[in-house]
Amino acid sequence: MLSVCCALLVSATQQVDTLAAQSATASSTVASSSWPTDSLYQADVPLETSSGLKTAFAAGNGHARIVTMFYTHCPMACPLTIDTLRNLDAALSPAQRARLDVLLLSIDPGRDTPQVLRALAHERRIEDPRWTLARASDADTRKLAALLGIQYRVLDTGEFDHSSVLILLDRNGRVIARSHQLGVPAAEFVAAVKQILDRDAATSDGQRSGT
Amino acid sequence: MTRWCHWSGRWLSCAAALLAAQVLASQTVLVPGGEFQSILPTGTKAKTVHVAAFRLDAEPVTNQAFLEFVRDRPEWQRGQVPGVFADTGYLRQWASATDLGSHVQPLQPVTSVSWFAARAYCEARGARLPVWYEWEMAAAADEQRRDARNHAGWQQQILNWYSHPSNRPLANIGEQPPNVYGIRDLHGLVWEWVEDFNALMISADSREQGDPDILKYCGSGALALEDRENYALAMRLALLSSLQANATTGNLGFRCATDAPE
Repeated sequence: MLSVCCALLVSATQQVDTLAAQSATASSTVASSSWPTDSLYQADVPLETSSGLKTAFAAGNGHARIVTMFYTHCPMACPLTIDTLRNLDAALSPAQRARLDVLLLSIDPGRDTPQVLRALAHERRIEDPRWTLARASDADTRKLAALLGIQYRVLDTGEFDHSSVLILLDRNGRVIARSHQLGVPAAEFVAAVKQILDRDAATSDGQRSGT
Repeated sequence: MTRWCHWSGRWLSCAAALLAAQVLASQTVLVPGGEFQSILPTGTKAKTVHVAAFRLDAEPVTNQAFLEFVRDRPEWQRGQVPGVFADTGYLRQWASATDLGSHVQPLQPVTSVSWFAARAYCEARGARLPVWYEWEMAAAADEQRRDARNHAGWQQQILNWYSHPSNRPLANIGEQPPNVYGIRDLHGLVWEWVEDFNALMISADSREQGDPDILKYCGSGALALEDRENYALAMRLALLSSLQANATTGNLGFRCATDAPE
């Protein structure tokens, strides 16, 4: 009886070890102490851009960002989203624009390969290097949508039902503002964007002057 | 638990407890695949969706199992998890971050866990959350049949649950008879997270919703099945789609699923 119990204990220990090994290697939503606790960049999500570059959701370049989700086969809402972003860019001064990045994440990563994303960028004349089109894995796409508060659902046709939202993140990944309005960007959203960009400019000016 | 066993020297009862824990932890049930008529519109003329075979936990994840998880993964302990992944209600029912306390039973389903936390638990086990169709298919069964949704008994059980006051303590898992698949507690115990909670399309944006708005959903598209059953499931859909991923509530738990080869 004792040897049976020992065998059970051993196997239980092994199961715990296996779990630990799995959790060490599984892609995780581990808290990173370098980001604030309310930063979306706490989530470690690998991305692949339209140029085939392997990067991560949190790997910006220290800029504020507008993030949205879309897919290339989207007939109406997504082209409109792109237009809205362009209109927003146009409302900024060149100095402001230089401090703002735009990230478009695909909700259809199976079809939206880097090649397909590049083709869309070419077709829609998205040439500004501040704009990034990217995709993640299926599971991570669901996680990104969950982080961003975006809903999406694939239909039998391969089309998607999805919400169209622009989300403004500060350079630390905190959500500053959200907007559903397409076409003419909402005035409050534009104001929030400008405010963040001007604040970023003031901070880095202060740093440059050594204060 | 293994450390306690070592120092206490009570091998027999300890081994039995470990075996029970293993059995509870690893009990999953195969749900065969098939065509399924979901309450959610398919978006085409097709009435059914194909649900591939999958394995589903026989019961919701318990306090005890989740405690073992957070001991193994301290970054998921209450007080350690950033607000982005779990709100301030996370595991509030426990006495501390690593202690259930005497007011909470080890075999109650764990609640006040966010979607991110539930997902991390399942991932750590090499599993995932079920998608809505999988949950719905498993939940359509009663003790005798795979699809009991047209049976008054199935509807009535669910509606009875809704009429219970919510201030009663949660029952332990496994106290109700299993359904025909061998799965328990899909109804009558806790709401459960699904992987695609933000695919249910009741609200356009989960962050802009307050209370679940069933009427909005019902108005926006044809539901596939009749009214009483719509209500029973629509409540669940309305809740899930109104939540943010970091939300925690005292009546919301989860269980895990895995793919199964067909």
